[in-house]
Amino acid sequence: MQTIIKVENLKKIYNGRTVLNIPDISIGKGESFGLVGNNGAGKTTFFQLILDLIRADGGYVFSCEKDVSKNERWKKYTGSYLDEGFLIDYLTPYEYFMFVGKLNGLNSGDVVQFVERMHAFLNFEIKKEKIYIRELSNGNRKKIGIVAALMVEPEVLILDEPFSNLDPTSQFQLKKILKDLQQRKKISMLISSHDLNHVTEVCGRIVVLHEGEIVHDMETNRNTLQELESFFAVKGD
Amino acid sequence: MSGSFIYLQKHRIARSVFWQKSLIINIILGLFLLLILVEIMFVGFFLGKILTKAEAGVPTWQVLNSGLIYYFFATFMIRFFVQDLPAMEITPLLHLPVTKSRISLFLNYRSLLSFFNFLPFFLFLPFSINYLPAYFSHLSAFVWFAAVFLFEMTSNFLIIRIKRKSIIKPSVVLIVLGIAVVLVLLEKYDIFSLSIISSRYFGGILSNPIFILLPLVTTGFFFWENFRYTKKHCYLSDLSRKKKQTEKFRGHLLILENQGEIGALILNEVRLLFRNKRSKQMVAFTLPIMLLYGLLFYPDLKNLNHNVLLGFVGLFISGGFLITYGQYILAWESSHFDFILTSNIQTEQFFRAKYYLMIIPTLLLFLITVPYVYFGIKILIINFVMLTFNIGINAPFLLFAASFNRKRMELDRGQMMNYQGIGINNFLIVIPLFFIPVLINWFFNHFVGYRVSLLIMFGIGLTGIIFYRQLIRFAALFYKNNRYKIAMGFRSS
Repeated sequence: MQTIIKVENLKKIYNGRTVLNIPDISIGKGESFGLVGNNGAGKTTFFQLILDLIRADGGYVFSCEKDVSKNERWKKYTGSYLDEGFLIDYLTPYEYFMFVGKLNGLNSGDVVQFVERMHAFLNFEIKKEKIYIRELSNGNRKKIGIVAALMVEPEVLILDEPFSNLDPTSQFQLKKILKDLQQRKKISMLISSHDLNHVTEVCGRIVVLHEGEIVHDMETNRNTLQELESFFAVKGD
Repeated sequence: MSGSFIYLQKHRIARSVFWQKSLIINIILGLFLLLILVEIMFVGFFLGKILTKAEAGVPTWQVLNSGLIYYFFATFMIRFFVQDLPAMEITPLLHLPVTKSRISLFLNYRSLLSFFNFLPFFLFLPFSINYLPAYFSHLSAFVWFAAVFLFEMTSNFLIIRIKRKSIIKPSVVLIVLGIAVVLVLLEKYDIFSLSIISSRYFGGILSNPIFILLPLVTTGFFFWENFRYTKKHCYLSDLSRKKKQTEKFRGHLLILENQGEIGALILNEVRLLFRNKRSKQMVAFTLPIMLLYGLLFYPDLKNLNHNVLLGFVGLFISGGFLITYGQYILAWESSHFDFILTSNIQTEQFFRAKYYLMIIPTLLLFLITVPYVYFGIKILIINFVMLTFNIGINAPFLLFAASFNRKRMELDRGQMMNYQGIGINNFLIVIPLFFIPVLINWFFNHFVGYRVSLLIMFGIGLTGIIFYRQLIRFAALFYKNNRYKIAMGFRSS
């Protein structure tokens, strides 16, 4: 499998404490990569480093063989949503989609068409709603961020905790969207989640982070969920 | 119970991020406040002497009495713009065994800590102790002061009541300013005199203390009205700062959507300016002050011969928008800065959009200042030269300096007396923005001549305009090298 993201000796230190230390990991093109771990395990930090949001204290992240901190080409094919810092809260959802679309070379027709395809997931009339993103509920805000990340038809999709704050129906729909996207478009997905059920259902490969280090890297099979539950049950004792 | 509220308030202030992280700013503001208080006290102690000189032959107390109503108007207006609503995080208390009456009452008492409520003690108490007893009994002097204080209390509770009900819109500001101008004009042309009413009323108090009932009743009424209103509106939906807003955006600006990436970025920035309380207030309040700044100087003929001063005023007037908006050019977007970093936006394009957004309104606003030509063609020439300097040098400089401003701006809070997101850099930036051009202007004006100094300033500005792409590229490169630090600042502060 062709590698799309490669990490070498990646390290992040906060106040003298190493919060992430990944000697080597590769994510293949079209691979669905699930990242699990307890709070503070380093999941978000890992994604922030892949997205060049924070400076690494050591090591490299290569996206399509280019160092993300030196070359910004990755922005053209990467869709991401980590948290509300990715939303422009004084825009209406429709304006936000148009803005993101414009930056990615989509015209208004493309944007409208895509948003209409996502209608069931969004579950509200984007064009009719004249409310700003800041006035939406947490769940709806998250949906806006996820849809915007999907809209750019990314080759790499990075989502941090996409299922949290979503209602059960939306969680179900999101899983369907992600699985469908992965099968049809063969995009590389990096998804972190606390919900072991969701992540094992969507991802073909699961990596467990614990205290900043990779402690498990496994292909998803019918025993994966059980193995993960056993691992986290022990950590909780 | 009140003890618990005070405990909460104390910790709210002491543990606020701003208080803990901005020690230098707090010291500067503290010194500034102290300076103002000393000056006010000075005026208070010598008020009698000052008023003696103001109107010869008229008793000082009479002069003061006739002006008091304007004092109340002035402080009311300042309160209107500056005074914040007494804030307390009420939401966590709503499910606890705390009655709404107590919360409401506490908020009323909390408002008493406003700076303006203490002003009468500094300004008028020395007068009532030092001067009034020479003409009236001690009781009369005391009642007179009590009335002044109670009127200030009325003003305090009235302003809170008004602010609780409505959001201040620019149109309201204009109406209030309009009323003030009309009242002054009526007084000036002897059509309707508020000062006579004021003089009679406060003179009446000095001879008959029963008149104190008026401010007593008004204070009591607005205190009760605030109490009633807050108690009635102690609900999450009423307390939320995120009020529903209607779409006010003007359709014709949507044309920017079809102007490529830069157009989209400018449109986004315009929406930012008009849809957030803080940026809106910045435009509504700061801009008129900067534009009208010339009226403080130009009417005085002596100033018209002072070329360096005129240059400074020109910099200020022609760069009003550029400076107020430009000094937070990146910080405005601090809440979604991660979006900017991960989006498919070329840094140079991003900066160019910001440059255009600084200079286009600056050019339009310059047209508004053209009527200053009334004070002489010289004013127009100086202002135009300073406009060139602002666009050519100060605008790219602000783009460069943006990388040093790493404090997150909370845009849903008002601008007045709000120092959140303001750091020492915002004070230091004044040096290169104003002092350096003034210094250059002074140097050539002093040693070579007025015309040459203007030509040099114009030449520097024009050079900046010609090489604006290179200057923007330089600012963008500097930003790129510092992006992690900026992002970290925006996330953590």
